[in-house]
Amino acid sequence: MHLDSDHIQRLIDGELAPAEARDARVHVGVCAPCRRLADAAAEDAQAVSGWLTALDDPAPAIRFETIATRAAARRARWTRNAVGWVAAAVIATVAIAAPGSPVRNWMGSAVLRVTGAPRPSAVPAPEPETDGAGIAVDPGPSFVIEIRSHAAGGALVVRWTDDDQVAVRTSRAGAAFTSRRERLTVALERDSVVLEIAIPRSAPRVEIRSGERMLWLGQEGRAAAPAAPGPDGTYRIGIDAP
Amino acid sequence: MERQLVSDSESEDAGGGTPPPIAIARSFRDQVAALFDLHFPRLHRVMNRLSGDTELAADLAQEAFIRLHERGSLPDHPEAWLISVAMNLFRNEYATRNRRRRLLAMVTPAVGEGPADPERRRRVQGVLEGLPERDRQLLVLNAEGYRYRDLAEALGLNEASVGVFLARARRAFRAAYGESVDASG
Repeated sequence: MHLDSDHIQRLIDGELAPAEARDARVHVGVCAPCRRLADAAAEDAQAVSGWLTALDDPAPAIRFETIATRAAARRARWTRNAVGWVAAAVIATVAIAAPGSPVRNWMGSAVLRVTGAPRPSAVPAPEPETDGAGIAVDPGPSFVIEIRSHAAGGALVVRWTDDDQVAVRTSRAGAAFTSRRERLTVALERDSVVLEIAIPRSAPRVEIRSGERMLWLGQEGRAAAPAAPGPDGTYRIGIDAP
Repeated sequence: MERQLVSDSESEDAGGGTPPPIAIARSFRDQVAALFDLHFPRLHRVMNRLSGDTELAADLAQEAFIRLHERGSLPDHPEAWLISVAMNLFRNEYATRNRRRRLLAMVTPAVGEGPADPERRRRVQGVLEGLPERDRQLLVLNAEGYRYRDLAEALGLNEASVGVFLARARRAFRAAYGESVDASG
């Protein structure tokens, strides 16, 4: 049984455990083929090690203090940088989060410039009013909707509906409703209030008036109005203060 | 697991065999300083042989120790760790160095001053650079007396394969060196 190449290499490199090395040396002493391999391997190792010394230069005289000082300086620089970044992050956070800070607008503008998206108006769009009101009543055989306008620029949008009730609603505040038998009074208190009025086709008669003036009349699905309905079938009627 | 070096007193027999040896842990700085004294010349020699540039070798060896110092604790096998770091630094430097050398060769004439046997050095350097990277590293590190375990860890090899790889690398080096001598007449 001969030694394999790895075993021989380990033997000449001193990598075998003491007992293994002893056994290997005994074997090499009595086995000519293994001895030849071991001698050749040792010769290779010695030759290569010798040739490599041709590349050697004296090591520079560097003291450990140099290493320690450079490491400390680098650590200090790293710490300074870290502190700087943290401080910058804190300042940026405060600048963005502070009430009334223009930074958010600047950032938004910058992002929009980069992305090319349309810039939002500097003045925010008014929120839609949600405090409108409405009423629905049974028209009965004859029903009058009386408009009392104390403001300017109001309008009616009248349309037919298949419901059974007259429905009047406004999308914003400024209208007061008073309902009595066969009559609904709508007082417009603010300018430019638009009333949407739905009239049942089945209602025998519904009249919309403003003071003495009749604005619209519907009788069993037929309407009499100062103007023809629009493409969407609604009648748009302006109201002015008396 | 981090390794803690102990002072020399650890290995001394306390006498009587009753109290166990007391491991006196030194400061991390002292441990790195001890490693530096032991291994800096060796690491410099390895990097010098691989790079052929003593200043670069000094920089690489120093940088490896600085990084060990910055690490704050010793790795399991500090020698292998240092080699591995220095090798990686050299690998990064290698392309830059070759580029710089090509540029310098275009503008700088060769100077006469050099090592004692410049011809032999040039030949050894040429043969070494003609070998695969792994063979170069194995030969240089092994010639410096690094253990198979450290070679395997530093170069990412299986320790059981180191002996066979080394044998091949040595044979290849000898053959190439012989060819180089023959070629030069």
